[in-house]
Amino acid sequence: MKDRSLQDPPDPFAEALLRSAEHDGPTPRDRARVAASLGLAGATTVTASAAKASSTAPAAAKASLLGGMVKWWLGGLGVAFLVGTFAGAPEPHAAAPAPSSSVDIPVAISAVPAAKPAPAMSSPVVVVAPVPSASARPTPPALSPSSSDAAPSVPKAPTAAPSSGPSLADELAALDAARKAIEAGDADAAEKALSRYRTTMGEGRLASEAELLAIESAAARADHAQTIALGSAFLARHPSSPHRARVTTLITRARKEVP
Amino acid sequence: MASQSKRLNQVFEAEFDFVWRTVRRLGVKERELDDAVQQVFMVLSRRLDGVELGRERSFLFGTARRVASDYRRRYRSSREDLVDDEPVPRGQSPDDPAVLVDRKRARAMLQEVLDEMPDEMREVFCLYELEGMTTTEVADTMQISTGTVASRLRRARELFQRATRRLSARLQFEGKDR
Repeated sequence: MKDRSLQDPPDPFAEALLRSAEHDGPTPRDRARVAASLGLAGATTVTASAAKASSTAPAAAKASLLGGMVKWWLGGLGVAFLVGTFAGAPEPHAAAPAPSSSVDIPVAISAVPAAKPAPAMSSPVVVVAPVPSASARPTPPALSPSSSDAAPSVPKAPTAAPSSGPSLADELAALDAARKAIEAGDADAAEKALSRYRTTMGEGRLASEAELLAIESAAARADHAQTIALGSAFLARHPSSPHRARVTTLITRARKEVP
Repeated sequence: MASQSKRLNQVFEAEFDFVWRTVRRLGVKERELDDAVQQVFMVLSRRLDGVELGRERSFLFGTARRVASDYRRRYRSSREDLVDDEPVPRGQSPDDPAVLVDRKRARAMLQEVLDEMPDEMREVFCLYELEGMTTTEVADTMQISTGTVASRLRRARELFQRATRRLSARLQFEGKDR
């Protein structure tokens, strides 16, 4: 981090804290686990060595476990957006966290604080979006595939604290309905789904995705004026959006249709 | 479909580490990093056809910050401590010049400092100071102007220095108190 010193002379304590982030990064095992849970083909190659080292599961058992995981995932999320891409086998449950190497960092002061005081009562369990847990690794082959189907990771059970609003998965599911309707040419259903999204999610995290779908919906029902209006408003609001190209294309097409 | 799958694989290979670091630095706890990163790539996989070529990192960052924000909100609502699970242990005497703090402890302290920053400052600070991006790259990734990056960075640095001074003073006080 050249020329990035925070002050002159640099505070060694602050510098030490900054340097501690230099080693931030996932292990190959982390990468393999997430890739496998996403069903990315790369997972097979990425996990190859780790899996070879740690797995004793027969290939057939792995395939069954994968099938079970996929079934659980698709059932839970209600979508199948990655069907056909599940080529990688999940990593067997053998992973111990990589030991944290203890690189010594001299600091200006030495006493290290205790963490913030623990709450007097046990913390409620966190509610997580009902997506498949990347850390929900399949159980060892001794268990039947079905037993691992619905085994999400650790303390994320439905027994939890009240949710603070729609989860990302809720938003995805709501938008997925609109998307499917557009693809099926059902403009009314798409509009209803988008209206439902706006009502229930408000300014959700995927609001710009919803806007894009509204433009696509207008284009699908050949409402060119609406496509241009919504598209132009979108570009004005999000001039650097990653969806800019797509929206521009939709506007251009609509303009060609307008007399 | 095949080309989309190939593209998704390529983006995953290129950006997985970045996304992982980002969600961690934006406050997702270690035990949930896998899930958070997975959510980010799930969103990408569903929106990939609408993401302009070359803008994938920007899209991923925007998604990662929303996902991380969601996790932080849940931590708050469930009264979980924002600091990671690993407690920062008390060290030795503050007057001992040979005292060494291992990286994990330092990393936990850094996270404590980052967690005190407002989101906008923290994001710029992480990309510039920790990720090593230039201000132009930060601006491109966050889709804001370089002027905004500069002003947020200046403010974030002030906050960082103030927080580290406070932390340092607290450590000294706790050390002498024992």
